[in-house]
Amino acid sequence: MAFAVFEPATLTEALSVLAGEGDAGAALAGGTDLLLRIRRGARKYRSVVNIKFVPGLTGLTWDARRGLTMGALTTFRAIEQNEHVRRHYHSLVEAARVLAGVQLRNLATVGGNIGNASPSADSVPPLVALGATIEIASATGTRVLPIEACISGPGRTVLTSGEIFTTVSVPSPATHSGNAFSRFSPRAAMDIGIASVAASVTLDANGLCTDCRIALGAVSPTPLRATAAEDAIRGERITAALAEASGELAAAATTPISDIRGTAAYRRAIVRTLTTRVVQQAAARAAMAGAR
Amino acid sequence: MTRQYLLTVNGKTSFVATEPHQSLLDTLRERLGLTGIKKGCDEGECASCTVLLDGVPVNSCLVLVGDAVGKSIVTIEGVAGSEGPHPLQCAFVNLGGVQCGYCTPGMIVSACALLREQPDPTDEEIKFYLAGNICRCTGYNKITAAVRSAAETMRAADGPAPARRTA
Repeated sequence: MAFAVFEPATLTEALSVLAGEGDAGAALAGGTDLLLRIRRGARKYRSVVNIKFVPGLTGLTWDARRGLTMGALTTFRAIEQNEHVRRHYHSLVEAARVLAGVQLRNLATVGGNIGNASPSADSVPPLVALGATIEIASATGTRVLPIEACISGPGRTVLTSGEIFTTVSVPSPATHSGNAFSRFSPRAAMDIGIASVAASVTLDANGLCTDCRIALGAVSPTPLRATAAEDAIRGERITAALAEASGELAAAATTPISDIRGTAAYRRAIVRTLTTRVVQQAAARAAMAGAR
Repeated sequence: MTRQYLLTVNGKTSFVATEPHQSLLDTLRERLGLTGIKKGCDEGECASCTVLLDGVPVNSCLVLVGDAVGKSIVTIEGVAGSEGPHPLQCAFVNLGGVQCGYCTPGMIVSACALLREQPDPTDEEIKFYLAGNICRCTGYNKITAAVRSAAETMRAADGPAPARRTA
């Protein structure tokens, strides 16, 4: 399927081309989802606007105050290998390491994973649980949204034509905090998750949970926070029993579909187990961070 | 509309005429005749089309030709040196890491990148790195053994072996 390719050299040029092409054009990041959809005929575009030559959209910086700043075109391989991510954002590394395989992770980008808006996007639960935001640019200016607010349905984002994601920002983790992610899929690599869970937990000096964010993947049309499970944990000591209770509450919050990968009931059962494990893992990491 | 792309493939730089929506894979196979690199699935699932772009393994079926301009492209045809097959190629042959052979070019090109990053990988590291390379003959054990063996050969060739402990 033929299409024209634009290769803008600046952000201004990219935004102007995208605005001009409107719905007939698509921004091309890593291409691992978009090129497939075009080839399968699922989407027809007159043009793709390859934004890989736009300076400033890649690169990963970490600052103790500002946290992690990633260009939207940062690849998952770069995320997985970055020393700051490995030190402060275990959940993000755990998600990156199960996303497809090494070859695809050298192409696939964080902005693309969010923009593809698959309910099973591996990077979305950890980013939501870490409180990440994304900057959206258009010819008329920029806006910043929490990750969960920019996905409006399966395959749909709030981006209007002429807008692109430019930067993902992840806050610096609080002291005495930990985070973790786990995904279940029949095959460890090159598979799509049946369900996934990410948690970020902060403890006080007495080991009581002061803050907690739990995000679920592949069990709802849009990114889902398990708020009832979070409320049950906040203010408490995270025991095995409480983690299990949070798993029940998280499972109850899901609205999964039944498909070839699993039934809705199976997905709920997976969420219950993964939440129980991930909450305890995040709490254990928080306790270790507190002990340092 | 056909355009000219300046590509550096296996150390040689030349203009290649093709259309901008073409993949690097189709360009290498159809325009440059490099058919050692395989088109298994053409959708990023099998990695038999793996090439190194500036030393990094990628699925060439999902790379637009324009994205390879100005980068070093290495295919299976560029893996062997002038003095003969690459140690990985020898090990795959000698240890039966090849069955139907379709996944082999991608396996070897990916393993080249692995051994550059980690000259002494564990079995787990080999499996992790090659997890995207699908072999439907299910010969993974022999592939892992071949990579391990090539790593040993290359380490031995690279420098003096560590001093042996005497009893």
